[in-house]
Amino acid sequence: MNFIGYYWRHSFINQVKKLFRASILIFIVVCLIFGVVIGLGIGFLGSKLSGDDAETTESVAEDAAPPDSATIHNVIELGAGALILLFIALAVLTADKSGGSAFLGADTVLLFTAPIKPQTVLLFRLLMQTGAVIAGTFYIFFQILSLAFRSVISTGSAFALLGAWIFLLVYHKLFSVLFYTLSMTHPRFKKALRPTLYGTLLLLTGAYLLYAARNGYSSATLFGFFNAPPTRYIPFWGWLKGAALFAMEGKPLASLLSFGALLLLAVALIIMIWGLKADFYEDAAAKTAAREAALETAAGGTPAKRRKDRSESLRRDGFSHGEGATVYWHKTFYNRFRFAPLGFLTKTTVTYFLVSLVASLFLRFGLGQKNFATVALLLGGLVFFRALGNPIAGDVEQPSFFLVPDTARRKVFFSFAAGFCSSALDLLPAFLLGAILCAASPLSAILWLLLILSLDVYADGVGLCIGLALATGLSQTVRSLVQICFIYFGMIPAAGILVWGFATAHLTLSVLLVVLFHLLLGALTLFLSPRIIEKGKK
Amino acid sequence: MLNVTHLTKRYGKTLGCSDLSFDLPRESITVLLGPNGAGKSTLLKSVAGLLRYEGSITIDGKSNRDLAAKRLLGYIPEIPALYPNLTVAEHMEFIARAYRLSDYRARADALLDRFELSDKKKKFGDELSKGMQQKLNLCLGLLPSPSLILMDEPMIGLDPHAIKELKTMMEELRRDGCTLLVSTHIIDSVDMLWDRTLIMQKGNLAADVTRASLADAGETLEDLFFSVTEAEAGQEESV
Repeated sequence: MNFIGYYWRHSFINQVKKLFRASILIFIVVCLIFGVVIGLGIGFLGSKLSGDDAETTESVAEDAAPPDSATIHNVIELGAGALILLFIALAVLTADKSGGSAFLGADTVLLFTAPIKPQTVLLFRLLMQTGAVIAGTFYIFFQILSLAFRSVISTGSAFALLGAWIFLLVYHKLFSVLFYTLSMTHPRFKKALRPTLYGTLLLLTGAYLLYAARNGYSSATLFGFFNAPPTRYIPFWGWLKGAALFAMEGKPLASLLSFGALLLLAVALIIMIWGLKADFYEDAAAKTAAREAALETAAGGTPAKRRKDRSESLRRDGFSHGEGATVYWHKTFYNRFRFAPLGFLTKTTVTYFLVSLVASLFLRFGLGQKNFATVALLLGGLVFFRALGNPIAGDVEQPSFFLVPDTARRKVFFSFAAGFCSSALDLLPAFLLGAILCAASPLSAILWLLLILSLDVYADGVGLCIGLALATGLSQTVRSLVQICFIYFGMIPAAGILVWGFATAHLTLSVLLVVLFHLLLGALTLFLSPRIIEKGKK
Repeated sequence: MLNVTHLTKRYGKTLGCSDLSFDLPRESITVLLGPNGAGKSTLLKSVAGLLRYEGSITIDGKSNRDLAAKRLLGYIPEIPALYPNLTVAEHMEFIARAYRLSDYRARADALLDRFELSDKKKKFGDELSKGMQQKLNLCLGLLPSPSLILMDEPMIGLDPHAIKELKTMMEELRRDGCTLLVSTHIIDSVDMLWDRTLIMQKGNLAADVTRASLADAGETLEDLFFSVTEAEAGQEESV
């Protein structure tokens, strides 16, 4: 295993070296420090105000009294349980892809032919990925330690939370290795995997519905079913919940026992994986070759080949709109109306709509609440994470971008404007549905809409600017991590302003300030990006 | 050294290799010729353990899937692939660790020196030109001193100096007891080197000749290649 540590150490150091080649780094570091300092400062202010001025807070809250600590604890436990289930489900759903898509071209050439067990090679690559994910979520570490620092939770609880998070990521990779190895070696296992997952989820839902039919549909029933004390003894799922939550409840021994059980299970899984007869090189090599070819094609600026042919009924000619930079605007909408059913219903529109529908109905009929803020936050999260995909980069990275006879400023503007309007069109139906189902006040709805759209402007602008400023030699993973970290830290002041507004009964003002803050940062980065392009920084 | 028995490889309904059987002795250079899509890379990848197949492949009497057999094998792919975040020197060290080699530094330096990569030791994998990447892949494949070396179009992308050096090295390797199986399109590039030639056509072994038998027949390798591959194409056209 000597080569694993060697690779990890050297590739990490070299990534950092490459990162330092970008002149933007100084700017990033300054902004990170700025974000951390302001974040901590506002955090202190928020916790101080929420403690000293509880009456003020109450007067602002839309839904009467704030939830008590038991409810908060229950919500945390429910969320933790759902998160763990989501990770397991993802490991199952991506079982046939996770291993195959994990490798680099060099792995197939240098390691697949080396005298190393296939499981070791797979574990090597997945461990590298886990390391990158853990490093990429260091802001979660920061947040947890910040909670301990502000005495919201004890130091022991903070470490338990960190431990649980790392165990979750490691287990996700272990399950991925196990399911992938079994799927590639035993076709019957592969066939049975997804139906087993769906069956288990159906059983769980059925059991809950039965339980709720007897006890009534309320949040208490939900907590009573999923957070029942015996659930913490369910292997892995319950142990992982228990490891963190026992510590938070002041039961360190139970927490340690849960961690011990998790450790033993991890060892057992590793031994089991080692003992399997693995045969996945052909599949993995083919997938890696296809992925590398797609990446090379993308780097060369030509569109990657689709796996499936598009429908013959699609319009295939008639794009004759715009000139110069405006072609980016027309192209986006021409494609939107051409590919989306009814010229409008993109997959994103439908996804947002379904999320809004399910969340609103669950809040209203499952929990008996009409809290529009939850739906708006969910939609905001979806818009934000979609913007992290850096949609403008698709235009900017094409070699033809440089050939279009117009200024870089106009080209970036029209590409951004088209993406922004398209994103707004995706959001609107879901947003209106949520507002109606939750009976949100018009002022509240407008404020939330402004906030989400300004967040999109901010994430688009900052993502593009940082992407352009980073050295081209960096791996895609590191590029994405830096972009995400930068966007995340840049949002800390905005979060601080919102906390301030909430604590001092100036919520409307604070939302408007945040909108202004996002728009200013978005505009600044959109102003800088064309300059970087013209400088040939990329 | 290498024994292939009834090797068949299918990609769905397409046949990559069909019932191939041959033996390669020690201290030999065998050239694998054939038009595009004849199955040369499929054969090499099967021997390298990268593909599932029907039949049997053994290296020095051990199944090619065994770790002991893999220790004897060196594979140089057609398309070079390197880690973008490791330098040239780190790639050599990484392979040495993966193969658990000891006392490899002198050999690593000698290989890098022969392929003119000594001054590129601190370059990252993604900073090398295609030709240099191919040279480094050659160095990496040869570092563990394998007894059976598979080369898939090794001369593509190499400069004349590197091609000359590679040819010299192939002869040295044969002299040292290695078995080489080299796939190529460029017949001229291997004309002086080979002991035996396998010509593949549509997944089948269309010809298997030694240098002596070809000389006895008064043919050149090029004549044989075209007579085998074009005769079959001509037969198809007449049908």
